[in-house]
Amino acid sequence: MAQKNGKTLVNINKLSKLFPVGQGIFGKADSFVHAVSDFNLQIKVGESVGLVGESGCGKTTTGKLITRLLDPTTGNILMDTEEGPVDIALLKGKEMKTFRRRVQMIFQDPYESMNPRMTIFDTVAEPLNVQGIGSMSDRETMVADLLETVDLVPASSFLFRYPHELSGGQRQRVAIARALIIKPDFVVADEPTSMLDVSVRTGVMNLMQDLADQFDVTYLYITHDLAVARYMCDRIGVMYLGKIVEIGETEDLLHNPKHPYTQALLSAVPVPDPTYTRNPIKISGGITKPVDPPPQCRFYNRCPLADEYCKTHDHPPRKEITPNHYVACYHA
Amino acid sequence: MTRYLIRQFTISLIKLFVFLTFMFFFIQIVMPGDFVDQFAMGCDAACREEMRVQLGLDLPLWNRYFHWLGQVVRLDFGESMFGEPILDIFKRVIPPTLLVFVIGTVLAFMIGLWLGKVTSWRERGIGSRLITLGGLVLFTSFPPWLTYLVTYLVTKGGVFQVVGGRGGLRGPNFTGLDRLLWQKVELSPSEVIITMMICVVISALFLFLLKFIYERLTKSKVPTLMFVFLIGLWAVSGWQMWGIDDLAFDIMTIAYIPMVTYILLAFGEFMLIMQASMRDVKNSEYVQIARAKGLPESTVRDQHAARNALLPVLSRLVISLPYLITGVVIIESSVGWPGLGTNLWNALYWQNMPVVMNTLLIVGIISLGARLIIDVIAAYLDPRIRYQDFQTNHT
Amino acid sequence: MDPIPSNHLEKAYNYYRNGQLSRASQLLVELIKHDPGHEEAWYLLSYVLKDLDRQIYAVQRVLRINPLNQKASIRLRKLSVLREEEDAGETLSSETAEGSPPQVTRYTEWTRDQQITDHGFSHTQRLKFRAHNFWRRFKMNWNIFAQSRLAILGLILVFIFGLLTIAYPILRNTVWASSVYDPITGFDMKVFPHPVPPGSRHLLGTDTLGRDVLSRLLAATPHTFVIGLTAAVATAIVGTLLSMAAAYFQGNVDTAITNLADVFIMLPAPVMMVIIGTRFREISPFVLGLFYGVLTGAGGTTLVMRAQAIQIVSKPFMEAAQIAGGGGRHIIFKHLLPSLLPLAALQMMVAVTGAVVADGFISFFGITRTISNWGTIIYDAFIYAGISGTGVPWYSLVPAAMCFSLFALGFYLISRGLHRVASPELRRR
Repeated sequence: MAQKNGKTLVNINKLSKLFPVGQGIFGKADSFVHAVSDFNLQIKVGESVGLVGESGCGKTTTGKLITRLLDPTTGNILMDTEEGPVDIALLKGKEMKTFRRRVQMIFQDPYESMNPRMTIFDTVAEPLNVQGIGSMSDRETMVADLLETVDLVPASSFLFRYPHELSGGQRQRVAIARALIIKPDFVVADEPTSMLDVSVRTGVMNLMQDLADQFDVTYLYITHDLAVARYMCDRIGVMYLGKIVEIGETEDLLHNPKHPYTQALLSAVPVPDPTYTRNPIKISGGITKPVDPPPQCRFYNRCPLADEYCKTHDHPPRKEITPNHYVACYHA
Repeated sequence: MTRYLIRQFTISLIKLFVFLTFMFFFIQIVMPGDFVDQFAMGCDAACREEMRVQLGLDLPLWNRYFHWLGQVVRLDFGESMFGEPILDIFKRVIPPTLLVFVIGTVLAFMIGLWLGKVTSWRERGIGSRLITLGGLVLFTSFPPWLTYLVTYLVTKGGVFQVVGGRGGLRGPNFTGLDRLLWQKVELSPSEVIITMMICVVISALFLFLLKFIYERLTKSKVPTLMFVFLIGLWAVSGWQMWGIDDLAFDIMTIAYIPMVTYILLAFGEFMLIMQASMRDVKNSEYVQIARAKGLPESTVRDQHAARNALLPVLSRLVISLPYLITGVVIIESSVGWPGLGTNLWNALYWQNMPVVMNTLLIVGIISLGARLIIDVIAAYLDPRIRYQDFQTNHT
Repeated sequence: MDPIPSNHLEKAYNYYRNGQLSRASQLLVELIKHDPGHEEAWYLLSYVLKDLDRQIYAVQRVLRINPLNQKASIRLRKLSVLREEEDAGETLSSETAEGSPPQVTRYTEWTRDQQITDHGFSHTQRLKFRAHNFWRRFKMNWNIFAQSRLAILGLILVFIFGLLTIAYPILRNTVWASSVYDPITGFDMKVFPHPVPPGSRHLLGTDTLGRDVLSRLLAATPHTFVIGLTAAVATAIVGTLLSMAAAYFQGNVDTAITNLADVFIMLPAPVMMVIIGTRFREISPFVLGLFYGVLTGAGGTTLVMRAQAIQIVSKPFMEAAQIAGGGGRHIIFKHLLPSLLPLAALQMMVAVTGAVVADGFISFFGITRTISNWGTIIYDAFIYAGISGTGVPWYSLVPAAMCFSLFALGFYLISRGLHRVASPELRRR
């Protein structure tokens, strides 16, 4: 897979995002959903990191924070630049535009993430237009080249079509092309394959990997599917209610899950081996919105290992179990 | 929900205040002259000045504004420039308007919904097309012309008189009534109308209750047409019990003209909105499933499609409500129906500001109040809106 | 699209499976005549036809319709091989049999020009693409619009009124003597007594004052057009600007605009116009239309359009545009505005109806002294009938009233057609 030279590209420190809920007559919020709270993650140049969790655990919010579609409530996201690390929450105007050249995003829904009134060419060339890269004919060449690279061949037959004339897989390829057209360093992919048919899913995943090598892209891969994460990522972080509960190298994490939540997630993955047996770990209930959550461990309510210690103490700090494998649990 | 209502209520009050303030200054600044200029044509300057001092028109505009505002806050309507208490004017003028507006709107709404439902279900039929076109023509027709047409068709020419005009607007009165009949009683037409309305409302509520209980018990449906007919019958017998049946019928002989005109003008809009809404619902999956279950077509239409199509119609009603009110104003003044609209027209002509402002106050309260009621009904009908309110209220 | 094709295709397929090739081809040809872009029909036809060349042609048509049809390209490759073999058999030469399958130039027809493969787009090519694109889009929208016959009727009505607008000045300067056909002072001495019913001399008769009704109607048409169109444009501009501002800034700006719109919606347009009219008696239709347009534009139109704008802004493609680096200007002009324009057009049409009726209404009550107006014509008919005691002459009343209805109806019907174009669920065929 991608080479690792150990340089940190993105460094996320104590990131939190609170959404106000509840409103008095004069519009003052009285409680908050802690969508992301005290979130820490380092992403190195060239690696693919996966973020796995149930829907509603704050994965997408994290992705939007990193791409600055949302402003963080507290904490900072440091992006490595030529002038050293820069906090992206403080970017304004021109710096913001430069930042957009480096960080792109692929959206979950290929149907809704494209303007139905714009042709494929206009959609893919939009970043070029906005950033003012190249002349019109340059842009056309670049777009056509890239479309062929993402297997939309021949490009000329796609350039002036509209999104609704394409299939889901084709559309997601267009979305990938749009994200890569200005050669970003870092791409946040928010469940890019979850809306696709299984038959085209692998194709898109392979394409993304090839492109990562070809364009030197670092991925943050957001998904709820452990199998997809395993296929795509060097490292996987498991998220629960706005916090990373466990993070480690892909194979290490999948073979040696330490956090009860990770174990539960893994036990839900079907294994194509009839002789394989394991102890299914049961967790009860469903995920709830963390509205003003108590300071104790976020997983406390559903955890099979929960005890008095967990109840009386704050959310467990993250500790390194084996090299590069961190868990946030008192019982691990 | 109560929190939401309180919030909406507060905002509505602020809106009403802004609206009235704007109208106050707009009318007084834009319209030339004042009441005295209109009223005291023959007086000389000194006489006019005296009259102004008497009426308080010599004060600066902002002073008059705060005076009026003080009155509104004290819920004191004050007096018309002619010296009649405005409350008396309203007692005389509001019942006729309510009679036309409330009964007309309810009937137009029901007719419009029903026609919209039926025509959109069989879109391609000739009957549907004719009804759609007919509704469109009525909806876009010129109201004074429509009133003339209705009067003409019903009375074979005759009764219709032009009310407006360059020279003067006629004072509101009930010219079409039978004088002999009314001489015998102490009641004024407006009082009779109030009693009539009370009868209708009570019988409607009571029959709704009965219908509800009956449908719960027997699990069958009462045909809407029969239900409306029953309400009418009950109301009429109510009039009889009250002993005002002669008077009521006499009023109805002139009231049906503005009412019919209003219904003809208004039902088209409801029908069109309902059609659009039904078209969206018609091909949805739950309607297909209802069909696949083998339910009769009319059940699918009424129980499954129409019920869901109703919600967008209600939300559109909020936007078209003020237009309906203006429609009533226009119809009243073209047919000479002595209601709020004609009164407003006259007051505007005389620049009788206290009457104008208080009429606008009433109109504002009606339109905002109706809006609030529609919001509540929509929330009651649609669990999603209830949820959304919760959401917008709590995010 | 149409109920016939899918059924036909199934039948044709059954015939094909039963070996009744001629019947199948008959059905398919019918189907293709009906819809030349029917991919499956062409594909099935390539199996049904007997002649190899025609089979190849059918597959090529499939690929022209959809260059990505895998089945068709495989079939074309097979057929080409067969073709090659047949040719070889006929000429009895073994030149072509070099072992490798022939290169299938399956996109040559589609790409039209070999240059395109190396992406060197010339300027004219690009323009051609754009023009083609625009045309395609226009055709698509037109088809949706034309599905409603009433919408076409509306278009015709408005067109006729447009003709009438030009008709008056032309007739005045050529055929009609101004002493007879002036809309205010005209009087026909040769006819007595007035009013006269429609006849060969006066197509729509004359009114009580001896004025030709038709000429009055025609003279009033431009006035109506001006007021309607001004109101429409003003409504669209005000509504679009406010709703875009609300959707773009959201939060407090949105709340302020929505509440403002709520206040504006309470302002009764006819009453407001009466107030304006009493002050400025000689008010031009342009100003009156503008006034009406701003009034409704900031009220109902803003409410309707804001709902749509909010929906558009919450679409992921707005976030995608942000990710592309687009600032406010880019998002507003490239994404928000184009998506709102169809709805704005719809609101324009509705405003025409309202403005024309309101204007007619206030001139009906004799408040503005506009020179000549349909409302005035109706008013005059009533008033003079009252004076002379003869009853209302229908021929001076009905045409003006019909003009109102038809004019408003025309624009309203167009707006219904536009509504179909503007609603996305119909757009996605």
